Amino acid sequence: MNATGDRLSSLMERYARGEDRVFEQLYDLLAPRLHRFCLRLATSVVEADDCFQETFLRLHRARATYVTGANPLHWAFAIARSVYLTRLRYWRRRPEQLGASRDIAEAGELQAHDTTPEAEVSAQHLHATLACELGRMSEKNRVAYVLLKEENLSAREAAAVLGTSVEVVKQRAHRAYQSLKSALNSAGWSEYGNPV
Amino acid sequence: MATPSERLYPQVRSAVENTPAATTRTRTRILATLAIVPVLTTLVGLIASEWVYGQPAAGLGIDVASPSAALTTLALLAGLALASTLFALSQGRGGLGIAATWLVSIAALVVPVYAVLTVLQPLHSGAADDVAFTGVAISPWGWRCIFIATLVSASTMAIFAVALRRAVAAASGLRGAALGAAAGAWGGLAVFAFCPSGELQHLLVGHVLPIALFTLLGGVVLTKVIRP
Repeated sequence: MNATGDRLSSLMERYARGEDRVFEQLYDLLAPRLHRFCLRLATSVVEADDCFQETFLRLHRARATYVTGANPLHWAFAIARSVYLTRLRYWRRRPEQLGASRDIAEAGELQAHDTTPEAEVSAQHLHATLACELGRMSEKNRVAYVLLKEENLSAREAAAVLGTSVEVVKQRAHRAYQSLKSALNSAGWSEYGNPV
Repeated sequence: MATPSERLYPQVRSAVENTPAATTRTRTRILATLAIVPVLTTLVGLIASEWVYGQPAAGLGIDVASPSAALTTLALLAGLALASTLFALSQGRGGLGIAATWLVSIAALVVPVYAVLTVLQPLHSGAADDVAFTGVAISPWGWRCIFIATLVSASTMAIFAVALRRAVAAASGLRGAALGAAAGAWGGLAVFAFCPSGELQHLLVGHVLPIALFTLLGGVVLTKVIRP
């Protein structure tokens, strides 16, 4: 773990021992990436906000179960996914809205280097295509892709978070990648973000 | 402009402040579990045997051709129960438990391993199934054994549930099944020490079937309790 990871781990350990006053610092370190992960899971901002709040609440209730030295972020990802799956099971009884997401997770990364109106429209189109395809694919493929490619977890770490084997995680992420590639090609983009 | 996580902070903070959280660490609860479950199994096995057959551990004393083989099998079954429990309860270094393949292996292998150790080469000839031999009628369906296996396995499962309550963030279904299999193995151990029957039907229904049922039950019921 890096310095931030060590600090996060140390804060989580103190919080697990019952030191409520470290909650704010813990939240500051954990929340941005956790919220981004929830956005990827839920594909809509409202649902992601609910999932994020519920995840923090469950993390608080389960704080005594934290294992000293473990990565709190990975643990939080696993809880968030558990929360999302529970909500998904509930919503299965009703039609789920899987339209285009208001995905803000990649907005910063996808902005064009030049600021011509054409470039901005182009970047928005690329962004919308990616977000729409991510929202359309299965939750299993999407979350495997997000953990490996966006959150930069190793295959072993992602397998632990998802409760499956390394091979399965790699296979799911590859399927997601193929699906994104195919969607970009259909929309007239090359693999590297250039118009075909 | 506030980021999404900053915008949500007041709501999260308020929810957290109004929600009580346990502070007894899971490691402590797991250690307590490892101390309680073997004692519980031994007590139930011995007391039930004394009550029904008039002697403790009747399964190891009545109609046994080879006492050393009986003790070896008992040790192997105890090892099976303990190993499956340790693996199923383990939180792993990352706090997310052991690998899913291990959990699948435990859930899938406990029943066949128990069956191989106790059914393929039964220690008893079947003479004890005759009421004249022990003075106790042993049901071919093993009702008494089912009751004892259920008593031990259900109590063990409840202890596991308390130990890992809200502690399993990933693969909770597999973990539940592995815990169910481990609980079933403790029930099987108690029944092995309790029962002197050598009838195949009795062994399959009264001794092996409860372990399989508790594996399934763990996958369904425990899952909901051990999730955060």
